[in-house]
Amino acid sequence: MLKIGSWLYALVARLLPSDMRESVGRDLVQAFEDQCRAVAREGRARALGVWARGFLNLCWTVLSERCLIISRHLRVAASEGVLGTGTIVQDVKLAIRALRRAPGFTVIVLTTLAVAIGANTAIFSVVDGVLLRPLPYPDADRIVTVAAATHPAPERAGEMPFSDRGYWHFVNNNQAFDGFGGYGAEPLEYALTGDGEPMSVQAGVMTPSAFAVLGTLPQLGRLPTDRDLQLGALPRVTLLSHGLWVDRYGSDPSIVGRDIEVPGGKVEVIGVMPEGYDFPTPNLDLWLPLALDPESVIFETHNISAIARLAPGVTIEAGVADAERLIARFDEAGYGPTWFTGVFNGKAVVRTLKEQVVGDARRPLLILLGAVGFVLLIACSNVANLFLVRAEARTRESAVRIALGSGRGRLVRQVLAESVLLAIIGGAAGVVLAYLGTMALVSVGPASVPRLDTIGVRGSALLYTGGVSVFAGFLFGVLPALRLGSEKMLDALRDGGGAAIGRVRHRTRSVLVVAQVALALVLLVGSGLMVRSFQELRAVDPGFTPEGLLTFTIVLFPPKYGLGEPTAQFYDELIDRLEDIPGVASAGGISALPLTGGEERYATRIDEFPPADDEFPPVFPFWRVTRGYFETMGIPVVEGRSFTADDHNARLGSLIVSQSLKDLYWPEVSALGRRIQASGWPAQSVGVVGDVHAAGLGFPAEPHIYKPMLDAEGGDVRRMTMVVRSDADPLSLVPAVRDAIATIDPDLPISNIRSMESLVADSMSRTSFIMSLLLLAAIVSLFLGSVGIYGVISYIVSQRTSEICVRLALGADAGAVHTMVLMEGMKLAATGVVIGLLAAVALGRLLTSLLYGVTSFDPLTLVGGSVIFLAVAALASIIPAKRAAGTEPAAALQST
Amino acid sequence: MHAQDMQLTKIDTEIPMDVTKNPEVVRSFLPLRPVQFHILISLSEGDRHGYGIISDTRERSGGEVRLEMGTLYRALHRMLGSGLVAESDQRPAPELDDQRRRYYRITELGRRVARGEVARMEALVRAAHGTGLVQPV
Repeated sequence: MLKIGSWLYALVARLLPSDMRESVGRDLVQAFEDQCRAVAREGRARALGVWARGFLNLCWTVLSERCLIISRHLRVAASEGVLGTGTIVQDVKLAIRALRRAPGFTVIVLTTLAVAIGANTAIFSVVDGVLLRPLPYPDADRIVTVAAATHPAPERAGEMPFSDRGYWHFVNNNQAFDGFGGYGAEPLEYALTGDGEPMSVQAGVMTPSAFAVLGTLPQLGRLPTDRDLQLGALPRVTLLSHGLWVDRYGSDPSIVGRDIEVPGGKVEVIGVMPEGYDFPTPNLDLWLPLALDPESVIFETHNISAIARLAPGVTIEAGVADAERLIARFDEAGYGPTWFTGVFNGKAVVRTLKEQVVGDARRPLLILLGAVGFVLLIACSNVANLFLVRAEARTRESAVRIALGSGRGRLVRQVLAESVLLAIIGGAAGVVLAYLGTMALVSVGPASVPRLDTIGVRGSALLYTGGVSVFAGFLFGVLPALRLGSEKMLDALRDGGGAAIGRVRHRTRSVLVVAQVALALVLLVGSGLMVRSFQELRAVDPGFTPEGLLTFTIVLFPPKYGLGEPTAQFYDELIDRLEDIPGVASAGGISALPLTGGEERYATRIDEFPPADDEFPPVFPFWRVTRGYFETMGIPVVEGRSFTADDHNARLGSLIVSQSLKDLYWPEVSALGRRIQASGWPAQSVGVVGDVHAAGLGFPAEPHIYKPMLDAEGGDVRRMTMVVRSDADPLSLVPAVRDAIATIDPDLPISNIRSMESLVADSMSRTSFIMSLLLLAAIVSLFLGSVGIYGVISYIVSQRTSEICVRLALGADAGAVHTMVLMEGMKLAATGVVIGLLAAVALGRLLTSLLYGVTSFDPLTLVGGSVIFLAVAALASIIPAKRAAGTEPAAALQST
Repeated sequence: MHAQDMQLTKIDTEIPMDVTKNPEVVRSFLPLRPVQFHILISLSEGDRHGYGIISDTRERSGGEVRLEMGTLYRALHRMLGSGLVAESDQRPAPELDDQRRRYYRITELGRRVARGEVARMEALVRAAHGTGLVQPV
């Protein structure tokens, strides 16, 4: 570790200006080694910190020393009178002419730069929109989310929202927060009936205090207050979203104060929220105030998420401490002792709202930013290589110009003018590409990337592009320019020799190529790991057959559809009508489709396995399903039967368990007829069905339970997602489905019309999204890397033409020359591959949380990536090797 | 002979006396950059190698001042050029020495410049006396 660190440090130290390098360079490296050795005794983390600081400091020193020299050159040039505006214009003209004379060079450089800078700007725009820009609330970094942490149990999430009582316990007793609000994390499906076509809408549900915590005021009207609340009844007031106000009410300001019709009554519009207000979820149409019951005795239902504003001077840590103090006193809110042994682990989860919103999108985005950063470095070293080739081609021109008395400053300036011009044009083209790229990213980006709507190429991204372009210009332009102007080289030129410079360049270029190969291999391995994860995910059997399934959501509202029997009758009839559609094999419905969340979770008592007194019963996810659901989804009935129409009508209290639940409790015997109670409702198992990966293909199938649509409590199936199986393209059924529904109720809107296959694809979208982008980065860098190898080998061959000729003339056979040149290329590639493999293994750990079914140390990917690279390197070396082997000794010797 | 005297005689051979004693020359270095001042302070007590200067400065400041290697050597490079410090040919006992290390010593000019900087700072602090800005020690 120490060795690699010192080596890297020494490598960068070699970039110091020659005078400084000669006076203190070696000692600097030595002293740094001393320092690293001394801190190595204090532990690894500290040593790494010291190394990183020292390394960055050295980079900074190199950069500032180099800049100093450039500014000195420029000053000299200015004093010589060659830096007037006139000469800059002249330089630019000259540069344009020179670049036009070399269209191949110009096009390659511009394309390389535009792609690299464009990719960087596009990904930065996404990072900026998602991670960097503050949330659109006043003083947004003081807003936190609060939840109680739970014991780590596979069947429970790691944190739990509040019950009504828990919420009030926090509101009344907290000391750390300046406002505490509750909201429903999932929007409510609602319908608007008056003012035109009936329309299905998404409603956010928040306590008035939650609106106050966020602090954003409506653009029209007012926020709800506690006086607007009515416990246990339909809310009396609502806030409209900007979009709904514009689309449905024609931006009419007099809407405030008017009543609008919803199923079951009227609500008064009290205001319109500003555009972009997207709490708790984006794309809401309206908000309803949420009333929570301080006297509630329902402890099983924890569905109130909480946000709070930290009081002035209170840190997040203090917020955590206060929340944990309150969790320890949950018994005052009515929680019995089993809640503490079975559910709450005593810890609180308090994090900033931004962290909550950004969630796990952070890491993939930073990885992508790192990946495109690699691409930029590769592109820069490639362009630097091209510049070196060009400088080589121009040695004679330079020599002549110097012989004619042209100043060193002028020569340097001309190369600089060319590189700056290219960087600017490349940057501009990059911005165009970035606009297109960002648009593409936003449109194909998975819905799981939060805040997608705030993404766009903005000022900060343009600033970033400017910085990247200047950096790139510096990287690829200044170093070759300085070499071009260096005294050593000019001396060598005067002597008419080129060997000394040749060697220097050769080394520089080899280092650049090795770096390119190493960086590109890291990307190749990274994308390879994602490809393997994606393959593994695709190979997962979801537990149902998604092909040929159409899904859509229906929400029934009272009073037209009363709870209980009327809704059951509606769905029964609907299934009949759907099955009457020609080509439809079967239909069914479920309270929430697998892969979409939204399941209910209940503490469950299995009569044969009663929990001990101090033990909390296990919690399982539940879904309510209609008859025909399992058959339509293709979920096999392993034992017993699936639900029938009787289960809904006769209220038998029957339920169906999943295979994994059977394996958990009755691995050897039948699971039928077992008595199971969920939230106090006794039932008995009538069937066992196959497991479904409900939480996502990347998660193991959890033991789960299905209830019939109705049960002794009446059930709540206002919202059902229907599944329809047919042989035809699922979406082609939509008109027939609409007609079928209209025959029962012409006013009923349907929403979320999707094919099941697209839902499954969406659940893999994060992996496929990262995979595609990393793959793209890897392919681009593989290409650039091979171009780099090709360039260097060609160059070496051209430098050694006379040597090769002598060898051939002395009787070496063409095959030996071929192998020799090939080996040169493979040597570079192999060095790069070894360094790249080390880096890939080190950096692969960053990917771990994104991988599925493979580890970051995946021999197949590592070996595969290396082999691909070596093969490409061999291909890139074959052309120059062939050329070398085919050299006509006499002709070549004459030309040198 | 004192170690210091020995250094003095050596310096005299490098830089003509009239230059080191010329107050104009000394003043032209002032004010010193903090890193230069730290280097001169550290070397005023004896010759040191690069890492020695860093650890000495850190100890002396109670951990407050942490020089980075690049910054240090950038300053050393300049100070070698302007004659404030020079490479020392005195080396520690062989069993403690590492042949690859270079040691640096303060020159007479460096010493005078450091004194000048101290005087300049003292004058600044004096100017602040009686204003309530200066905390009684």
